[in-house]
Amino acid sequence: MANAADVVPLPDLLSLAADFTWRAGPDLRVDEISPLDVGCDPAVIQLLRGARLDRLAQRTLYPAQGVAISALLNRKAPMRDVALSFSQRDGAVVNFTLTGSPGGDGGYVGVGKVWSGRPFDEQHRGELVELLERAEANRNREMRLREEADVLLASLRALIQPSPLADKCADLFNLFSRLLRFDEALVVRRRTRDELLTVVATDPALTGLRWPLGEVIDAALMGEALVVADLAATREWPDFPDIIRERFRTALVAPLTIGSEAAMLVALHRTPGYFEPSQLALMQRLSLIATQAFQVDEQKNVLINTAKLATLGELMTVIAHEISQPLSVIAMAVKNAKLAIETENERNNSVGTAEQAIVISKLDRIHDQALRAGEIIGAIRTLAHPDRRTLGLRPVSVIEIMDNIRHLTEGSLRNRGIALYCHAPSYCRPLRANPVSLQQVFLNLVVNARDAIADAAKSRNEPTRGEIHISVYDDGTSDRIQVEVSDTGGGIPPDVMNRIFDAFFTLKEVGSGTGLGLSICRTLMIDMGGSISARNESAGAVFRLEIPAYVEEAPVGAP
Amino acid sequence: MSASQPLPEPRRPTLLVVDDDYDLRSELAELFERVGYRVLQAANGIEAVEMAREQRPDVVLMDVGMPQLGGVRAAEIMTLLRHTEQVVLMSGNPELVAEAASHRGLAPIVLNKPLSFDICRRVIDSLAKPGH
Repeated sequence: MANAADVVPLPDLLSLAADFTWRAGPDLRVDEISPLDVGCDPAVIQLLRGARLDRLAQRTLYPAQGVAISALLNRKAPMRDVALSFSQRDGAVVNFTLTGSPGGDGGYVGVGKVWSGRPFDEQHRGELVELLERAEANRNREMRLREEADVLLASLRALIQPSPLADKCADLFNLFSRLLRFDEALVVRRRTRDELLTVVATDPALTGLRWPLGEVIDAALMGEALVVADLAATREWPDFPDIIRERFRTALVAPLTIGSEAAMLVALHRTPGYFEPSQLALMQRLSLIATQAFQVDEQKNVLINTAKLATLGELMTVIAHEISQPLSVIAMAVKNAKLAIETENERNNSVGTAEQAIVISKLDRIHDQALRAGEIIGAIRTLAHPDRRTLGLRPVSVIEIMDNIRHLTEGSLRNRGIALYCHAPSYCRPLRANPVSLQQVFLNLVVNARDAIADAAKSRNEPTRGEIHISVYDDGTSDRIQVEVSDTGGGIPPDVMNRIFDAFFTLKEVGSGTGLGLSICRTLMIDMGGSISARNESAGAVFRLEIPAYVEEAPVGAP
Repeated sequence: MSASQPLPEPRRPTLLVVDDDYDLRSELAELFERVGYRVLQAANGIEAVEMAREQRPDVVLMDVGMPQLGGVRAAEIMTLLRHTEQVVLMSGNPELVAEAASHRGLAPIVLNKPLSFDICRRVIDSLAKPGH
């Protein structure tokens, strides 16, 4: 090899790793050719030895370059990477590239590289076609992706617009169907304490479907996504409704939060094993998107509620003022009339006629009723004004508070067939509290109990009937007095037990509860140095208040 | 108040009733006259302050929400000028009024509206007839 390199001086242009060296005379006939390493195909050496490059070039697949080689003869320009390719008789293809520079005798000196494989044109055309196809496919794919992204974005945008639940879910399903193939999808949310309801479904026939409570649902409500590979094969998921089990074979279930309420998103497919555990991550993402989407609505509701409350508070203040004024006038005028009659009688030194006595008793009644109306207005106004709670603590009789509550609620309880029982020990120490705040707490608890009883009866399609007990426990020694408000409304669902004191959390139907009642109760109780907690008993919920007992401060200087 | 009365009848205490509501004001005035007060009336805080300066009532019973000059501000002026030291306010929001007044260094008695005459009379009596 070193021998050959001596014989053939290497050209300046060495853009290729050389497999062989060559030298050609002025007529481009290859005079000398020597392989440089074992990679060189002997067929090329054999082919080139004594061959005319320009002729050979004519047979190449780059006739233009072949012509150019002929043209080089007159100009003596360097040859750069001229690629030639030809088929051998046996069908094999030989490719090689030549690089050369004009030699001293009018010929060329250069190096060459052997390539094997398909002919250049085919190879290149194939590659090109492939590249073009790939580019085309990419462009299509890119456009499709772009479209997809646009649609997804539009869906997302639609999702974050506040809108009714059904519309929102339709948008949601629309978005999901682009990301996950399923036959039908459902949103299932809690209807009552022990029943769930399909609120929205891609198939209207599945809307309104009732779900019993069970392990799957419990898991989903507690925040676990799961895949049920075969609904028919597994016996362990009896809590899918029968209609679902008949129509579908596999399900993906993911937790969902609508506002502050646990719900679930279910994707269904007819093919057993269609959903795989690997899709759980996607499903979980989807439910996250859904939760976010629902949150937008919830935040809007929160704003509306707050605005409503503020307006209600202002409204109540105005109404209370407007009504208390005429009530004062009525009470005073009646008092004047009564005093006038009495003065008249005194002057005549008589007790007055029987008719006058009746008139006086009627005037008394008018007076008392006017004042009672005033008291009711005062109580309502107190409820509308939580700011008052920061005012002073003083000794409060729990009996008095219970009486007030009885007066305020007796009408609405009687209408619903609910009885209110108050139990207190014959002697009970006074509480250290703000009477207005404490009354508000009691009232909230009684009203909640009333609504829970009414809801429970409504879900069983029974007439409302129930009992609310307010029980006071005073052991006479501890620094706190306990009050329990219990109802027969079936209790609080265990999975929301830890959230019931959160602001804007409510189990009541949309529009009927502000979700602030218990939150206010807790704030008031904490302000007064007390506490509030809840638990379930067989009949229903029990709210327990602990209120500090009033301790008379020892007079200064006392031993 | 005639000094020519044979019996040394105790001096009739003077009460100034201030309320922009004519009906309530006149009923209150009538009631307190019936129970032995000399009653003056004013329809707003400005009238009340002028009347208190000229007549020096023993007690002022005044509404809080009034046009031109409200009860809390009028009470502050009367107390500062020492026209009277005994102002009873009437309000639908007694706690809020008591708080507002305490910011101005006042500690007035605030009665809840709607008024009960019996409570109102007990309070006014205790201020106007000390020792009774």
